Amino acid sequence: MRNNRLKTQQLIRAAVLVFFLGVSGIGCSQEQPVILPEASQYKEPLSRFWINTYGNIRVSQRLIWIAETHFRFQETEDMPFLGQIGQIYNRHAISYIYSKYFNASLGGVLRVNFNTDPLSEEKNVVPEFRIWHQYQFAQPLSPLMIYHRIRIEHRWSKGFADNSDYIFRNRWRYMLRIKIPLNSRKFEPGTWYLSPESELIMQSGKEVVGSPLEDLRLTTTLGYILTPRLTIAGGLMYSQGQTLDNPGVFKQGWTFRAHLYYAPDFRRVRNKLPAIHLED
Amino acid sequence: MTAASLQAQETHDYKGHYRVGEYSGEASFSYALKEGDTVLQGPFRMQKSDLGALLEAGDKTFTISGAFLDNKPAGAWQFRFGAFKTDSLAQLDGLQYQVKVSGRQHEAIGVMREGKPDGLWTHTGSRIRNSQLEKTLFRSSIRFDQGVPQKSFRIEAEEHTLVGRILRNGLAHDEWTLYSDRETGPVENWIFREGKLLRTEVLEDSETLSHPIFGQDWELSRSIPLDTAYLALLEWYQYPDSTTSVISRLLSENASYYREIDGILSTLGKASYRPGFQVLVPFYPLDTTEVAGWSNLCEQIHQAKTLNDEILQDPQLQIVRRSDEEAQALYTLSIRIHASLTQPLGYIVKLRDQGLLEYVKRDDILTRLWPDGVPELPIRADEGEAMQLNDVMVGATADKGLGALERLADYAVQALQSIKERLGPRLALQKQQREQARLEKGLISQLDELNFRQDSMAVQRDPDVRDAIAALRTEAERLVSEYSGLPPTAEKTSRAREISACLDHFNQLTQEIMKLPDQWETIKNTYTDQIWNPFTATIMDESVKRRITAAYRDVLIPYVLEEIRLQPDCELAENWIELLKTAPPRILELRDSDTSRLERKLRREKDPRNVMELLGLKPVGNEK
Repeated sequence: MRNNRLKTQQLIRAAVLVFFLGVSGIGCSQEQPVILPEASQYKEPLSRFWINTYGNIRVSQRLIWIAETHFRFQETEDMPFLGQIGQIYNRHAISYIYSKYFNASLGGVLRVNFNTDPLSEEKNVVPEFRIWHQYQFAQPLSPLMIYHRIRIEHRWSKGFADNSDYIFRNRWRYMLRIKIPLNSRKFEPGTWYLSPESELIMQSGKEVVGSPLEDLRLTTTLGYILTPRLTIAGGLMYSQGQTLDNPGVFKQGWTFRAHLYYAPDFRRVRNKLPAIHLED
Repeated sequence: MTAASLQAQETHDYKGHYRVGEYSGEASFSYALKEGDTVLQGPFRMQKSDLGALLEAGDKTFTISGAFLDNKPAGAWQFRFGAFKTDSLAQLDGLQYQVKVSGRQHEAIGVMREGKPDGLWTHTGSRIRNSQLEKTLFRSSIRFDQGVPQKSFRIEAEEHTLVGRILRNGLAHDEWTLYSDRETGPVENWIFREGKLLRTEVLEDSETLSHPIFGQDWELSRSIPLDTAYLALLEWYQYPDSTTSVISRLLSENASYYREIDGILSTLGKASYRPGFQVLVPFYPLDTTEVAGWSNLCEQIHQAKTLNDEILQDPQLQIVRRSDEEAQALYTLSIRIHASLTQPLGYIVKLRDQGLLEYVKRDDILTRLWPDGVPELPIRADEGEAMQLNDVMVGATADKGLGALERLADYAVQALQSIKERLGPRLALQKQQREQARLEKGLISQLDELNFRQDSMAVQRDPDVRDAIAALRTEAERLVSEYSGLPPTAEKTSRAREISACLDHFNQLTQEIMKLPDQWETIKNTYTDQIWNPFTATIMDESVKRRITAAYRDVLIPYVLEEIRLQPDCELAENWIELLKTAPPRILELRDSDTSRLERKLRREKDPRNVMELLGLKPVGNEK
């Protein structure tokens, strides 16, 4: 009996060693073996502050130009949340309104990443590119609105080191969002709403070994509809996900988020058809 | 009640404003309360003099002073009535302002005993100029013994003087003579014998004419006061000859002065203040059936007179008859009836109202009123013209006084009624009455409609709308109640027409106001766009061109409702109606127009009239 248990342990140890050797053999730049912790490890939470602007510019009866610009700040040693700029996001797409309850978008992202490591001697700024498409479903459940968003991104990113190359990954994202109007039974100007949402971001790619869970985001925001074209919101997000280097090590963070939503309509149509008559 | 027991009662003093008939002024007197009644006791003084009125247009003043004993005037009394104006030039004499007055004054002085004049009473009527006596217009001096005039009296007026004798019992006696300043001898003479007036003698053109009034053969006589009724009786006995008796005039004037005082004293307490001359008149008593018969006759005559006046004074008939032959003929007939029947018959009513029927020979009335013979019935318009009033019955002829008169009066009434009917709509009065009745009915129904509308507004939640309609309704009620207080004249009918038109407008205006809430909903919906919000994936309503809708809802409409509430005016009503009719369509029109300049101008525009102009509406209401 004792002999058998010892043998199994040894076997496992050997397998792990081989596994890591194997992993290190597949990855391009990694050469050292990665040692999994015994229990999952959580790094110190990172505090961040995001200022997000979401623009949906109506260009025709069924087409909208999505123009988002986000400013992401994160902590420094001296200052939490707002210490330094982390990334500047530019996400654009063309969205097609199929119906009140479904739309699909296709576009690209240019994200500028800033080197947030104060000790790093490497590059300060590195761009990142994406092509993305998304499929949104709206589900009214009076007085709530429930949204399902499926977003698929194809991402090229690289590190700050001088000789780092772009790696390609796919991101598979699903977000469930609920909007709850607080001071009325429907969404109209003057309505306060509460919006809890949860997004699961999975990644895949050659470089993704054992860390498929890129980010799990849990956010709750409080929003206010100023006009049908302008909404503001703010809230708090908790996120966690596996680090790319070590699947047993998780990063986490608390992020304050401030959102500005705007949806101008510059069409000079005399009698703009009411939005519900999309089939006219 | 003995004086002693009365003195045991408590006397109260009154000092303040008091009113006796048409005399209103400051009074001070004493009184006692006896079984709830006020018993005047002690000195009495009342006066009125208004300096302000004097300085302005003129003042009517009076001073009354005397005393009462057991509610009856007793003791020395003085009355002074004046109607004065002033030239307003004041003089300071010592420490008193003095103003000179001019006008007329009537003064009466004498003593009263047990509520009756006692001793010498003088009445003086004078003309005053600049506070000086300019001329004595009238003076009467009568000596009384407890209300009964004694011995002789004297009445002077202008250039005449009347003196007469009275027996101890007050009966006129002997010659009552009138002298004139112009003539040496008497101008007029009334010869009495123990109250009976035998004859009058009048000097006319140097000739003395004698008139036997009553005649000599009386069977019964009655003693009555020598007052205006007696003088009227004398007139009747000389009818149709007109009399220009100066004695009559003087006695009449004297009687009026005495009446003035009697009125005051009788109102205050118990008094009988008369000249007290008694005369005998022939007495032809009436039994009860006769009294009823004459009373009925007088009613008939009164009715005839009313009908006649209606026809003869009708303004429309005056015009119509100039072009309408039949109207003209009927009009002429009415005149004939008036001259031959209604007017003479009217005298009878006068006699009856003065209580003189018992002193006239009724059988003589017919011959006296128609000395040339009783008019033949039926009355014709023209000799030979067959203007027949076929429906009028002519009663059987009667010689007896009352019967004959009844026949005439009856015919007059029927004939006039027939004429009135024949004239029909040509009589404005009738038409006027009909129209007035119709208008008044219309007014009532309009008021009802207004009230109904206001009640159906119970569900109206907008207080401005409610208040405006309530104001209109109140004004309508006020106009109608004001109208109903008007005296019935031709103006009343035209006023009824005006008010009818006004209420019509008010009704219309109310309807327009009631439409306002629904119109606002329509405007709001028209000015709402549906926007797709991609972030919530919902459709949201957005109101557009807010400046226009705000100008309408927050400036224009409140102004209109406020103005209507404050001034529910007939003249403005039409303007408001037009404004309320044109404003909402105009606003709806602007929805699709290019209004960027208009919206810029409307920004912060608070003046309603400017708003009206900018929106292209006709400005109504006052400048703000």
